[in-house]
Amino acid sequence: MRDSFDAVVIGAGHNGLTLGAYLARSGLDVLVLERRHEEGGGLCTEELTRPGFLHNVHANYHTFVDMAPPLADLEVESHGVTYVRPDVQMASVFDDGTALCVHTDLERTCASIARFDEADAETFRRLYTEAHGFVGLLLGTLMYQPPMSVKELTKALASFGVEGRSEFLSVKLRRESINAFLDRHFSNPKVKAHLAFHAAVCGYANDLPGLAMSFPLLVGKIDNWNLCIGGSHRLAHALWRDMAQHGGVMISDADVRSIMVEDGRAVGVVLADGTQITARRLVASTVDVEQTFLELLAPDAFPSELRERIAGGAIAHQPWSLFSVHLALSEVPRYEAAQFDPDVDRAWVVNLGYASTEQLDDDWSAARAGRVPKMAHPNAAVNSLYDPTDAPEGCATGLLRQIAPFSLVGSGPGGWDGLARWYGRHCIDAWARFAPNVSGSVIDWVPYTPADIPRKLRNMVQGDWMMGEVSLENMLDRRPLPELSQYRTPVEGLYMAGSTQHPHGFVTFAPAYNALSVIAEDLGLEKWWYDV
Amino acid sequence: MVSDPRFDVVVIGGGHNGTTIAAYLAKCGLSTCVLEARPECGGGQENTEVSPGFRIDPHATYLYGGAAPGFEQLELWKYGMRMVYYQSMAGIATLDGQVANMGSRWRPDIGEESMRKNSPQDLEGPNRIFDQLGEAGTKELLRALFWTPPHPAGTEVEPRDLPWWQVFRKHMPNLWFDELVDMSYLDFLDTFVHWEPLKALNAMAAWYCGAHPAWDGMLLQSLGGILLFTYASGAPRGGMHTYAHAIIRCALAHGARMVTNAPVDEIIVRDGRAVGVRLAEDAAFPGKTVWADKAVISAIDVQHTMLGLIGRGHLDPSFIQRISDISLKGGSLFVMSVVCRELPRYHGRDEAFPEEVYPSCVVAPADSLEWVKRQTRDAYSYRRAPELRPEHLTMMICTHDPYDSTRCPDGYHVLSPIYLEMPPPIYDASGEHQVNQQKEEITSAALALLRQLAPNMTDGNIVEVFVNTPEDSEFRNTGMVGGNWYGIRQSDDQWFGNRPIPELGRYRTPVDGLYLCNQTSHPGGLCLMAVPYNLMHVLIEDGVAEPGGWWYPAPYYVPPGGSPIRAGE
Repeated sequence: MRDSFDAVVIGAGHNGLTLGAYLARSGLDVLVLERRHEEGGGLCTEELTRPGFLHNVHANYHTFVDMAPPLADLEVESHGVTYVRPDVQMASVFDDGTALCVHTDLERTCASIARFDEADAETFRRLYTEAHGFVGLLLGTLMYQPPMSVKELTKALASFGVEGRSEFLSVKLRRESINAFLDRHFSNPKVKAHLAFHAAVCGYANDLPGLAMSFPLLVGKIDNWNLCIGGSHRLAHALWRDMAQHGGVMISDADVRSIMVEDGRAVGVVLADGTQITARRLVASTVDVEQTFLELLAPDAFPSELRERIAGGAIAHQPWSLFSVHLALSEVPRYEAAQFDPDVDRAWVVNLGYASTEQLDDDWSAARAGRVPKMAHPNAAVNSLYDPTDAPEGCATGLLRQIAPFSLVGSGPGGWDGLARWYGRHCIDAWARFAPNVSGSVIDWVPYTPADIPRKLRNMVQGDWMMGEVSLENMLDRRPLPELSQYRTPVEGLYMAGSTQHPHGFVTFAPAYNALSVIAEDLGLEKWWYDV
Repeated sequence: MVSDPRFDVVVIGGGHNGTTIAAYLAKCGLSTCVLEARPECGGGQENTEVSPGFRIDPHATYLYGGAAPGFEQLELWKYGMRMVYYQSMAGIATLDGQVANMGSRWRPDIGEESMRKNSPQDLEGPNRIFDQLGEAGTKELLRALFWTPPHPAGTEVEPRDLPWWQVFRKHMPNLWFDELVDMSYLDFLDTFVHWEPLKALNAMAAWYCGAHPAWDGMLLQSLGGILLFTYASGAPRGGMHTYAHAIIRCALAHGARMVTNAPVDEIIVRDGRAVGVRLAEDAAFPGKTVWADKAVISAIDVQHTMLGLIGRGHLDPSFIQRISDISLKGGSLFVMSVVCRELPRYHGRDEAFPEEVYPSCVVAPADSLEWVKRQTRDAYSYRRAPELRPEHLTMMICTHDPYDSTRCPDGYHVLSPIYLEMPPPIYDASGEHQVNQQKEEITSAALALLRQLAPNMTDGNIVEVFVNTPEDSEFRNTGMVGGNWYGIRQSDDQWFGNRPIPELGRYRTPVDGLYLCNQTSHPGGLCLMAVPYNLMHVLIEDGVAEPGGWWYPAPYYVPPGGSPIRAGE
């Protein structure tokens, strides 16, 4: 292996590969190092249950497909990535046999909501239309550029005259919870439950003050859930290929153990086997803050005050995680609620039973307190409905996800190992209550607990798949810590470019894209890419 | 309208052979596109993380290709190929309490000490062939066996003058006698090896190294398989998929295009020439027709290529019949992977296999050569799933983590793969799905036997077990027809220019511009980069590829119309 590169990127998740590909296309000699045996990080697809059943172990939903500049800049489509946007995106099924569906067709979504409450349907139409109009602007200013402060954002909104121009956006939202927003504008509990559920799948808890600020944005892309054909890992392939074809090198099974610092400047990395690799121009870390600063950097390489804060737990992690069940099914589920609305059988993601925001609130409280929600309300995704390649012919691949704590009261994260089969069964039963044919169609299944998450992907500390809490305190220029929020670090030449950074986890490409613009500024790279 | 994609060369199948030929051709400056049906390239070079942090090898597990010219020619070390070398490659355990550690190329002293203890007569003999040949001699022999394209049709050569026998005679004049060319490896073992467990180990190892030890005329091929194993004495760090990664990286770096989830439905033939391929409707590729200006290379098996992808009208009916008659189901594997807290301690004896020199693969129970003979006979003569008695269940139990910490978290071990010979499903006398139906039964019998051999393999020690039957293997990797990892069985009539049938022996087909590059051609499987290397000679002959100064041909390569090279001439 060569031992000197212009840029060394730690971690070959989607952010690491994206950054690597941009830098390689900018003419830099790039090396991306990955501890695992496979590139992609959360973009991992594996045959977990039976041969031929492709399970997206982590990232399943791609919601920034037509918005994120890297998709076009890096020509991922030409590298074989195909997205499908299911026409029935999400649904909720309720105990009384009713169901609510979100379609890509706004009219049909409104019609579905109108069956519960006609006024709510009209409100939704106005909210969606307004938010949709702002989405491009908001994503551009909020997501695909280094973060501004909440204050600056408020100021910008105020000077834009948002109060006068918008029915839903308001500077007040930064103090409100999603629940409060829903209560103010909607009246039917099931409609509210579905919208809160959608936010939850996006990683936003509906009971946290401040998150209402992001809510209109979430609604604006409520119908933009895309499925990567052949599994999410394909996107990782595409990013790797693009980088490789522009001269970048990705090496797997390369466990970085330290970042070499000389005279306050990051000059390379050392691997577990002792290999030293020089980074002539920069080192970028896309792994978690704790690993980067407490393990990879020597204590004297950066201010001890920062070290103490990180060691003391200053990095806020999501106080909840996800319990998943991956299933191999002999047929697609058929919901009883299809009698009420046949479209529910074609819904990609289904909320199994949350019928009020309070039920969601209860699960947040349970998870935060280290308790497993007693009554499971998992959501069920069946990718095979829209991706025939992900299961053997006639069969289907299923995914159940339930809000759950990482650390269990009394037994800690280790407690999951004894609980996994039982709770997995419980979740499957919850599914079968709404889709009775599920009981007889399970060929095989495996649980994937919150404790498994960091075992597989170390950087998802405490099972935090968002790599940092989504809360007002940990947003924008405060994520993950104020002095790290602009992608630079106290060590010259060392950048943070992973999901710890603004905006957050999910397949947004934004941390890498934003870090890139900072790096380009520092290195004087010419911006050939689409600049938001 | 966007026109269909067009490349110099289209490669069907992104397994080991497909990716390697793509790397070779891309390095020659040709625009090359690989179309892989599965979501992942690498074929049998697969690693699966079945549980977070635990990685198993569902198919290929050791590096056999250490002597491959491809490592130098493709500079795989530049692309992240890293090896872990093992202190001990093989061990033996018998039901009656015998154990032996055979060491590795790097630690011949371990094997010597074991033999001194167990069977002093075997201190010399076949076991020492590697030492006698030396590194250079072994490499020369292996390259003559595996990295030499079959001679052009009509080349007249006596068996004793075949490249591998020439090398053998050159280096081992004292061991040479004419009868060797007709001998089977089992006869050879019976004649020259004394200790029964050592015979069983060698016979079993030869089988897993691809050649059928019972076949007459396959002595040196069988021995060669074991020498391949000894020559490298290790595995790619992190598992075989990192080897695939290195090849893929090399191909990508030279501009090759790799497309996954892109099954090919048809090879387009015009005027007797392959001009491109048509993709399946659900292929994840913009454009459903991909044109090939110079060549279409099929890196999938010969039957699927000739019978599945080419319209019957383009082929002669008798040729079609002969292709249909080939059996790809030479031998099948039942593959188990066991996560455990402690490595097996055979007969409870720690001193047998101390952890720092733990044998990476243990053949057990290796009590008798007869047992191995019976098993291979059952597997090859298409009987039925093995009777669940120890004398039918000699296993090869592999583990890598004593030398490669990337395989599993601290405090655990992974025994992967544990191989059992099986009859190919389709020839199972009790029915095609018999082994699948008996999956749990066979698994528990094998685990019970393992516990008999190593009492610490209790339920408390075993954390998880993953099993692939031959049918599962074919299902997860369509290239492994019938769960066979080697393509066609390795018998004398399926070797060199006879593989898969004489008129396809030089990788060309009756369709101009269509070439074969799969383990169903010489010299078979094992991720040797050998089929592509050999094919390169033919592509150069045909003017498809023009490699640079980095290329060198095989010393025993015979160009069309040339005469066979003789050592010392």
